[in-house]
Amino acid sequence: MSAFQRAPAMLTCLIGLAFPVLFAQEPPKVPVLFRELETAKTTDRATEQLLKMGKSDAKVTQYLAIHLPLVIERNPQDSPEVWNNAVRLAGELRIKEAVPALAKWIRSSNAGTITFAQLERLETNAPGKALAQIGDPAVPTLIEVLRRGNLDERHVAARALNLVGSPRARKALRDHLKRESDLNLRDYIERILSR
Amino acid sequence: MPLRDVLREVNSAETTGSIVVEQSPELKGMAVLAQLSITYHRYPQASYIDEEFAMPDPSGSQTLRTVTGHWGRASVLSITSLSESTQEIRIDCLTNSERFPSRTIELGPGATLITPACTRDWNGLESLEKNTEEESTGGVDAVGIELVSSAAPGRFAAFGFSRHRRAETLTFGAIPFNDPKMVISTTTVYTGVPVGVTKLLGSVEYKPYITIANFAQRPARIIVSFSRTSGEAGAETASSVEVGHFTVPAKRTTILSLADLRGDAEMRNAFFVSSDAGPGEVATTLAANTANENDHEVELLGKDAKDPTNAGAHPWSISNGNASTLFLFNQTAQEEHADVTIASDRWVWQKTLTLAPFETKAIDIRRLKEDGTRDGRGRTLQTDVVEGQIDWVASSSERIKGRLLLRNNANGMARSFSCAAFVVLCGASVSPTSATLQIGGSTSFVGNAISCVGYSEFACSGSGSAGGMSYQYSWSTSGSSVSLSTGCSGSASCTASGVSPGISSITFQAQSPSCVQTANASAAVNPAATVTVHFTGSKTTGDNLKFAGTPACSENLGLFNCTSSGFWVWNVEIESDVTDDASKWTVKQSFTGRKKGFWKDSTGVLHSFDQTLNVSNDNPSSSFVQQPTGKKVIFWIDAPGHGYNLATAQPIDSLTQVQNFTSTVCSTVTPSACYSQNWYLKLVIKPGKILDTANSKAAFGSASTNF
Repeated sequence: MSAFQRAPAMLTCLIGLAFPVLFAQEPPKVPVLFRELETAKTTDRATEQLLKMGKSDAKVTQYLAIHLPLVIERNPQDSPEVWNNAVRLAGELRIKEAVPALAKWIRSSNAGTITFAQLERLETNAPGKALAQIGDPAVPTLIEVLRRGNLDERHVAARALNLVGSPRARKALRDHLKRESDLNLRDYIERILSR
Repeated sequence: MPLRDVLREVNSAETTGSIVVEQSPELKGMAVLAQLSITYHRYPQASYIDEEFAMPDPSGSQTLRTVTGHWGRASVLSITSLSESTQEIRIDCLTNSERFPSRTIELGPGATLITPACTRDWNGLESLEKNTEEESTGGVDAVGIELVSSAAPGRFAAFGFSRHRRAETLTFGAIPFNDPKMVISTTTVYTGVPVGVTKLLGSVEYKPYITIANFAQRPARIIVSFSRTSGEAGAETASSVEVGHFTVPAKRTTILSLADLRGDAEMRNAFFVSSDAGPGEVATTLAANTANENDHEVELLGKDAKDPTNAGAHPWSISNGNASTLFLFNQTAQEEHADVTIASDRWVWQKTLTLAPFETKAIDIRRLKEDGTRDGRGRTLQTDVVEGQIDWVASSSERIKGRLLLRNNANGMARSFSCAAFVVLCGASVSPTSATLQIGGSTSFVGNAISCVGYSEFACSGSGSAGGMSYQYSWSTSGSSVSLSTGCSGSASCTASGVSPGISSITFQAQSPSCVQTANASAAVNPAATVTVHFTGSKTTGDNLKFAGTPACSENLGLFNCTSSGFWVWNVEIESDVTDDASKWTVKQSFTGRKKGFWKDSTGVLHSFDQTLNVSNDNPSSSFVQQPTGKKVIFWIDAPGHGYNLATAQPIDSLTQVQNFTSTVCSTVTPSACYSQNWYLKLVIKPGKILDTANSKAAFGSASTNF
């Protein structure tokens, strides 16, 4: 067999290799799952799948980074299940693009089972917890909340910075301490910084 | 160690002399034992002379005494000087009818003299085997021999040989001497005596007789008692009767024939010979002969009834047709126990035997082996071992006498081993070796004094093990973590109470007149704590923690509907009282549970929910914990409950939630010291978002999650 006669076979191989590369830019299931995320009936199942895929596939988080903030910015009351799942995804997958949207809802929250330990971990405040999970990328936004937020929002921001725990977060708390007007919150920040 | 070989190695032609055994000076107590065995092989039936080494004692006297049933030149004396200077030794002989004139010999430093014992012809000894007209030819006559030295006490030793010529066969017997000052009582005990037909010695009829010499200046009244045991194992009966009551004049001897006695064929026979003279003033021996001229006479060593020893240690052998029988005689009128240990270099067999009053037990080692008799731990004697050591131990002295008979019926050999020993304190242990207790709690330790068979009452080590002894006990502790109860003093058990956290060493000490043995245990005293929860009322005085700044809307304890924060909470205060320092504890909390109910959406539609709760780390942050250094109380506060929403924008319509908590404090000093309290909150929200104060509850324990 001549070299010329072998060429089509090689071409076939190249085509076969090319397909996965093209589809890897956006996993085919992600848009479908995202649509399911936005539907109350299917949102819980879709959330679990997106969490699983997002932890191992950067393309999934890239997709979510584009689309999740839009969902979070919506009024939670429009579809509470969808909104809470979107916040959870943003936190657990550490999607920093969602920080501004999360900050919009960082206010006093009264959701879920409480103990003081749960309160400290922001288990009763989904946006605050998500910001803490995102970590350092959320610190500038949390600083802004400390500067401009009301007392409830400042409490949440202080707890979130405490959970971030990085030098940058602790510096933010130290810097805010002298500006804080509420005695209880100031006392709380002092105790955090003394640990 | 064959002496013939030793002499050959140094090219010595000596045939007589003395042997001195000295142990290394670094050895403590009597670490080395020795016995000299002389075997006379001239005739088909070998003759054995077993000589225990004399232990010259400076605290003794200058006198040695003995009595023998063989007269004149039939007995030969061997006297050895242990002095560095020449000494004179006076020899006095007592008979039943006349008093021999004293003879005095001069003995140079370290010299050994072998001389006829008591004879009118002092021309010296030509030969140990030389036949003379005065040699014993089967008849017996008692002679007492007293040797008095001019040197200090303990500076000479003596031993005698009795010669028996029967049917042209010469055999030898041993005549041991005793220092009268070392004799404690006026009663001598003979154990395992052949009386009448004796199966163990070839079913020959033995006729015992007792020779007695009264060295005192006044007549001595003598009482002889005979104790006999009969019956098979398990059905033994023992009796004791007086068989002789007579007087021996001053400085005279006598012989009591016991030929008419009927004894036990297994030699479970014993005699007491008592006198009203002072200790050491009357000497006795017991022997038994037969009508058969070819049979050796059996001579027995008596034991002082108040001998301080309470144990025996003897070699045993069942090789080459040998048989070994241990005789144990209970010389008291009450039941006694003896621990018997038969050992080889590979195994041990131990059993505690019970002896009825005046009972003699005969323990035949070959029979134990053949019968597969089990010891106290179910072990049997191994079949491939044929020699070793046998020890016996009584609970104290003056109770049991024992000896081992090693015999060989094929060659007519019968040897007695009656080395007495002491149960000595050779170790101590304490159980448990470690214990953990709380402050205010207590635990008991039991000390065990380990007894061994030693060969000196001053020894603190020995062989085997023994029980039943009691010693002086004491307890002490180092450190301040525990205190010992007053009952510890003098007791083998001790109760220790926890005083403060830490580890203390507890020392058990057992003490005998000669030895002190100790054993240690450790007691770890854990810091203790109690945990309680206050559910209602005000916070405890001294608790400066604040609910302010949290969703809780009151500084009081109890159930609250906090409309300002949008939470239903139950404020609680957890208090832990610790025994040391509050700052040396960590606080932990966890909870499990369930919540179930409905939330209402913005259109009024109800949505059900049912969730399991499992939070392993619900540890309170330091913001809510008060545990200052130097204090003994820890407070922390919490406000379990639920928000008005299930999650953001999911308002609760109705809810039943159970949180079952475990609140724990753990010592940082002793991390294993943790103390917990279980408590729960059951929160009930009636439909319409109404707090059900009647059915909501917080209390100790746990609440069911079946709802």
